[in-house]
Amino acid sequence: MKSSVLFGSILASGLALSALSLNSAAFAVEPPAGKPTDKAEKPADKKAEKSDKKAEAATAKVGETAPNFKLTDTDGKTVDLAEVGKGKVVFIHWFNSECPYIVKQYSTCSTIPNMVKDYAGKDVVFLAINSGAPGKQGAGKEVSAKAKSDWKMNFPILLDGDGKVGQMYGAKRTPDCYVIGKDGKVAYIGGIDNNSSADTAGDKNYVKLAIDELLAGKEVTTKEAKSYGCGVKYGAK
Amino acid sequence: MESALKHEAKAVISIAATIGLGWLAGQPVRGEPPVEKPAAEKPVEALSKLIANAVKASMVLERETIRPGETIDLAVTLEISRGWHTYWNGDNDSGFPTEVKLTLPRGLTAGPIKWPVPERHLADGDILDYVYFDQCTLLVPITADSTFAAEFRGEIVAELSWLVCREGCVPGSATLKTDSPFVAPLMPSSKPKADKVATEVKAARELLAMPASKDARVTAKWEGDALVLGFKDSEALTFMPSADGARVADPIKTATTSKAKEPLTLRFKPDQEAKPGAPDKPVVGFLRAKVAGSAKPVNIEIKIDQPK
Repeated sequence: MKSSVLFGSILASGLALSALSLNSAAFAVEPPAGKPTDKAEKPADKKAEKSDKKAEAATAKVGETAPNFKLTDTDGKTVDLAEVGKGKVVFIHWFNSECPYIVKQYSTCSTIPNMVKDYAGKDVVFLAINSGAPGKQGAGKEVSAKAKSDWKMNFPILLDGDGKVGQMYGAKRTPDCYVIGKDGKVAYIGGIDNNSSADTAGDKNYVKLAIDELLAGKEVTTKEAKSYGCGVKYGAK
Repeated sequence: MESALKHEAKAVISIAATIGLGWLAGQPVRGEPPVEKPAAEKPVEALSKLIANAVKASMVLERETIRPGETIDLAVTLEISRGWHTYWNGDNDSGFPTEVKLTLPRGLTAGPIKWPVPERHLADGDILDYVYFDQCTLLVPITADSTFAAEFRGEIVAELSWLVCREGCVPGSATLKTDSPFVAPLMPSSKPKADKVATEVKAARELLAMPASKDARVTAKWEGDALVLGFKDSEALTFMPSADGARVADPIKTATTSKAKEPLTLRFKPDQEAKPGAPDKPVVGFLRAKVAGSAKPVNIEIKIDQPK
């Protein structure tokens, strides 16, 4: 009797498209001059990538060596990525214990604690990085140290208060995820899974899929996926 | 941990909203009454309660009657506490756009959400989002087909979820109910009753963008892979890309200008999740132009296919 209509804002088109929408025919848009570009070549993508690279200046890219860093964790220990990652698969995610999307991974859905259990004894290193600037929400040693204790985390939460490592990796959200292969090359960048809600885990855990493929010596199938989360609390420039 | 949980507290509100005015005498109000503030309210509320109330959701139909074949709007409003913001369905760096899931009686279907034009919000660390402050009313077009009849009148139920942020973020949800519209009388001899259009719907329509085809001042020209998007005699221009369209490369620098009469030159990133061989997504979003002599900007709806 009742019809259920599901149209999340993400799924349905975001603008009224009926009679009001315009396409190239209805609205005078000048096409590019000269021959239309060959679709197979996709020169447009190369151009877009170039300007993207130059402008954003983040240096973590899939297929390239992960930028190295040395950060101090909440226990005062220094962690050097190249050292801890030697011969291991490394999973880095950006962290803010007060972000509901981090609470989702650690508490509501236990996605990350379960992964820690699954990979115990295997060549996988977990690193959390908090790039919150002093004074910003969720930033600083105390808040993260408390979360580490409350959530019984057995891996470091690295403090990146000046945001340098975050900017180097182009991290914008908590949790933005990066998986690095045993060869030190970035193998995956993106969200932890395919469900961007605050309380439900996705049925595709992209990070786990990437780690499993890397441990099996295979190439990662899904190298990039849309990420979700709260903005990283960088300081002002 | 406590503070993290507080921040995470969800506000689940069930509100039955009656349809505006002119109910038939004796028609009972369906569902629960709206949540009222207690008479003796404590001046200092717990932080968690304050955060849980950062958004108040409500819903009202444009009119109380609908004819088969007709479309009326359902206005879903989020009242947002000062300083907090919710998210548009934009190509946001962070956050979560408000979602509406409707359950409708037979004979009624819902179309895509008509979003008001958001604000461009650039946070420290170059985090760019498109958000709403103070209030966000989403208009959902509801169409009655020929099978919609009086005996199927029932409820419209909306399940909302959103993310509201200030320094931190709080996810929220609400279930709202309203009676569905009456079928308007079909007697050809009588004039249709002039139902009053709900003020929320009128106000929300003012905040929609104008389609580009209706404003001759909009100019768009492809130069190779770049779209040059302009507005005649603009003093400032901003393009806000939708999550449903092509992603703009370096939007922080290229999608806005405060130089008079300067158009935007936009380039687009490849769609990382597109299947090989799939056509590029069209350019979809809002173009906002500041023009001389007008305090209010002009907002234009853009949807432009990419060249093949």
